[in-house]
Amino acid sequence: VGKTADVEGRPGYVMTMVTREQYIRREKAISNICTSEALMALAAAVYLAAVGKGGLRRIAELCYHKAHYAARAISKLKGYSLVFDRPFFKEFAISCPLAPSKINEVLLHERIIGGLDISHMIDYGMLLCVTEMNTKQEIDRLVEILASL
Amino acid sequence: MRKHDLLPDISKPGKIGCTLPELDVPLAELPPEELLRKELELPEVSEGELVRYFTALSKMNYGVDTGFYPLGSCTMKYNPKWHEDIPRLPGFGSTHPLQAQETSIWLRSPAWMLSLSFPWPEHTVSLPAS
Repeated sequence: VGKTADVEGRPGYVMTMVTREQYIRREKAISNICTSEALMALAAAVYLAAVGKGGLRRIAELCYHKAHYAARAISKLKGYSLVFDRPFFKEFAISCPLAPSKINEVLLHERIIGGLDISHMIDYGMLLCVTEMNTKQEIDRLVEILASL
Repeated sequence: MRKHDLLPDISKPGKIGCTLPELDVPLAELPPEELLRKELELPEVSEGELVRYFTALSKMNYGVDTGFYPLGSCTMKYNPKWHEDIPRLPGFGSTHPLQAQETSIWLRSPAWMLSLSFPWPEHTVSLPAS
């Protein structure tokens, strides 16, 4: 999107170098198969403006601290360990004492959707993600169930 | 706010347009400083300013709510409003594409689709072409 000025000097915004027939020569357009990303872009713009520069950093920190809290607690459990020791943001791979599919069955029974089964890449591997949406209470409950297996 | 102001024009340091969850876990040590971004080019506005800004923009828009809308291409065609409601249903909007199939199989069930009840009863059952 380019910025320009109209004859009265007011700012105007226009899509430049977009040679799609939806925008130019519309009367001659013959192919019109496409999806609209505009609504998703609008929703993302509203979200980013609502949280702002301080809020987005704060959300990133929430994700980080909560994910690390969960990773630390799980890695202390007998049979569980972190697969990697490099810095991570909100996703981490763990090695489990039994098949991730079995663990997820139990978790589902407890109304928790478990981690992504990555045992085809890492033996007994599960990829977990914790974000600002998860409470300490939820994390503690997950850890408690994992400990009981 | 002047008519042509954009969000960065009315941005004030420290403002925020939403409430964030509390930090309820102990702090972890942050990654090395060189891995962290220093600055983000995002505006800081209050919720009221945000709502007024986008509401003002929406008034500059032309759509089926403001007048006759002849069909254009796929991106421009009229999509029933309840198509916007379905993805926002709790449990539907937060479905993860990689979550186990047995936890989302109901989403593909016609019985479930037809059991949805919408504020527009006459549109409860509709199978529009994509």
